[in-house]
Amino acid sequence: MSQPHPQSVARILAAPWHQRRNAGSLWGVALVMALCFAAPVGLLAWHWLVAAGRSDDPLLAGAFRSFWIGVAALLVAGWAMLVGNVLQQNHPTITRLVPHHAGQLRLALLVAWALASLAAAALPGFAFDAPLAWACGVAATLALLAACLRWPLLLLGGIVSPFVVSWLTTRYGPATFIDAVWQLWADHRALATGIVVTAGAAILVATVRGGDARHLAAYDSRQRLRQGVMTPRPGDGHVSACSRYGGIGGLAVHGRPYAWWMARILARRDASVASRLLLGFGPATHWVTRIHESVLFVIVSSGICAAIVVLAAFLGQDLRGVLPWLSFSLLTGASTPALQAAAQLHRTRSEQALLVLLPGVPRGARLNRWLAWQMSATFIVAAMGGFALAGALDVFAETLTPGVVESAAGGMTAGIAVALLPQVAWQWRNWSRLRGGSGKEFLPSFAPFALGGTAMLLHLWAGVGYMPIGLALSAASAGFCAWRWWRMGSEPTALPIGRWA
Amino acid sequence: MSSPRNDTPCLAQGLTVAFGAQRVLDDLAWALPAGRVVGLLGRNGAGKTTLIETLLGLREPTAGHASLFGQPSMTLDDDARARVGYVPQRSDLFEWMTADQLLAYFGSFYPRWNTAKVDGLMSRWDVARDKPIGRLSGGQQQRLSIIRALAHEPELLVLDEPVASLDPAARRDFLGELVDQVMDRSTTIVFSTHILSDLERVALDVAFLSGGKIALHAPLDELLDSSVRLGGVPADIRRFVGEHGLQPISHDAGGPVIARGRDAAAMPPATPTVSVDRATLEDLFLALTA
Repeated sequence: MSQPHPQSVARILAAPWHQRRNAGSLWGVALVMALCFAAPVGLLAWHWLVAAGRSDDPLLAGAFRSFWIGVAALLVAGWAMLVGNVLQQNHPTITRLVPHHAGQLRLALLVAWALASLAAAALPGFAFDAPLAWACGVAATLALLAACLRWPLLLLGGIVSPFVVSWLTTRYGPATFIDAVWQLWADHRALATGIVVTAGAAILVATVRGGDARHLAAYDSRQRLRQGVMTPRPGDGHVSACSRYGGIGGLAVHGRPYAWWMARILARRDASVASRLLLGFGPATHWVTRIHESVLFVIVSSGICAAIVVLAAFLGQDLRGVLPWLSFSLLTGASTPALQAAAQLHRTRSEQALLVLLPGVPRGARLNRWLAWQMSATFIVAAMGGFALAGALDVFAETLTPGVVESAAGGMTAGIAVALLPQVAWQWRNWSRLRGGSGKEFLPSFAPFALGGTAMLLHLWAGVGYMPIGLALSAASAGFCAWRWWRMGSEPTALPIGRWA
Repeated sequence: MSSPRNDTPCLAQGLTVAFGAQRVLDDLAWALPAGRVVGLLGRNGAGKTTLIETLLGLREPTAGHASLFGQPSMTLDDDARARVGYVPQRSDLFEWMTADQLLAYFGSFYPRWNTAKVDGLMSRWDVARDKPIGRLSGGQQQRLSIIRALAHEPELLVLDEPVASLDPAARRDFLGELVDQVMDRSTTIVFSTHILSDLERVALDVAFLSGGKIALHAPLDELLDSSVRLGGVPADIRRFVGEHGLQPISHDAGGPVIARGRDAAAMPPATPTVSVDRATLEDLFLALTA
């Protein structure tokens, strides 16, 4: 006699399309929404303060533009989250065993796609008097984004496309190029709509796989690839950073310098308690890993720079305007992992329970402050490294084409630069209350962009110099850190991280 | 009753730990006698791990205080910390290190580290030395965790479900090691487990955690000798308990009643209406942790 399904399984079978929800609180969603609309709200507030009633105020126009940019960002983030969830549910075994699973996943994608396209037609479409164009544009973009998430190699096309657009606009002139695109749309509106609807739906249907043998084989090969990348070669003599502790996706290569450093420290009997204690926090938060990641990042970025310059020379075009954007990437890329290090600390809290019981390990205020200084030092070194690299790249770009930094990126790097160092405040947390896996932990990664964007808007539209903005932010940050240093004296012992959360 | 001396290995007074409105430990008082092996028993979710973590100063109590060797658990000095060994419930820790690296790492902190003992246990318990801990089996990870905790020869050894992943042979080896530890060094050992047969093999004392309090802490042999299981009609059992001066532990109207006598050696004789048997540790566990 067959066993009846347990209740939980029965529930799953009854609702096979049941969407997987993101774990954790709604803080993450609220935060993303707040960040998307922080700039327009800020600009609007600034407008009311300095130029209320003036309809030609550039702040008002900026608020209007940044509102639509926020809407677009929200749409893309929501769609990426939905597609990501659908792909996660599209496990070959579940798809094969649960009736109508693939069909329901496809339906979920198609319905969301259609609704987003209709919303685009209804909101910006009518606002800008081109509902069909907006609907088609959004539909095509979302379908392409879904395809990129399903087949990540397509992202290469996403990387190349700005260069192609840049080349086209340089060759034909920006106005001519956009006019040509509009003309093409005006002449073949019905055909273009048909292509977008048919191809978009086909892409979304193909995004979800049916659980057949090929699906299973593809899934297995992806798992093997992941395991191959994450596992060190036999005889390496080094231990990889496991996925639970790894900095970037747990790549085996990231564990090697840490393992080398660990072997060095363990071989020395006179190694300081601080250096040994840092080892116990795992590879993800260790400064050796940070340096290694930064070096890898610089190598990759340098390769891209070289490729762009060579490409520009080969095409005889001015693609060097991309360099300031790369300097912006260097600055944020070098500092973001250090900003996330505090959250990474949470991963080794079980190990930390053993560490605080070791003789010689500081406790109380001494430990709290030591940890804050340690994390601050790592962050500041990473940020300064980012400054140096970004500055060098900007100087290089200016050497090639004077004035290109300001014209191509609008001083964006400078905006982020003044907003970056004050982020050291994130390293002065109440460690025993630090929550892991909470949406709030996105905040340190987003904060430089939000603050940098605000600084840039203040600079561009209110004419405030970057230096005073940077000084004001740094002073506020230093004041906060000093206050936290004092508070840490009476807070519970830092380790294990988050035990009081 | 004399108050516990300052060198009491572990002492809790008025210990309360609350998660929101839920009080996991509620005004708990407990003193661990030196040189004893104490089995800490309690149902799932009773708060055994919370109690252990609070005693070790890994968790702040909402009220009350805990001390180890006369020092507040939250501010132990280096000397006190060197006297404590701890095996947490999770044994897959420090996954990125090999067993050798882990032992070298911990050994570098302690003033005393018995390398010969470590080497002996590592080979006897067959733990791979150069494999990352993340790739050891659950049993091997747990053995390594125990070796790490024993290596500095602690005076107080706290083990949170240390045998959950061990096979019977490994459990027997482990228990033997615990007995040696007590015989050789008079180590105070407290361990939580659900495997009552293991506990009966090595524990000198048992403590039952229920309702956020230590419901009973007594020498195991004495407890087993003085406890009886009574079967029969409730009214007859009540009369029997009164006549023989027994102290009922459980009041389950539907099943057997567990009761303790004043005299450990004497077991009251059965009557035609009330059956009398020796209570087992399982009977006591069910009765005291209900």
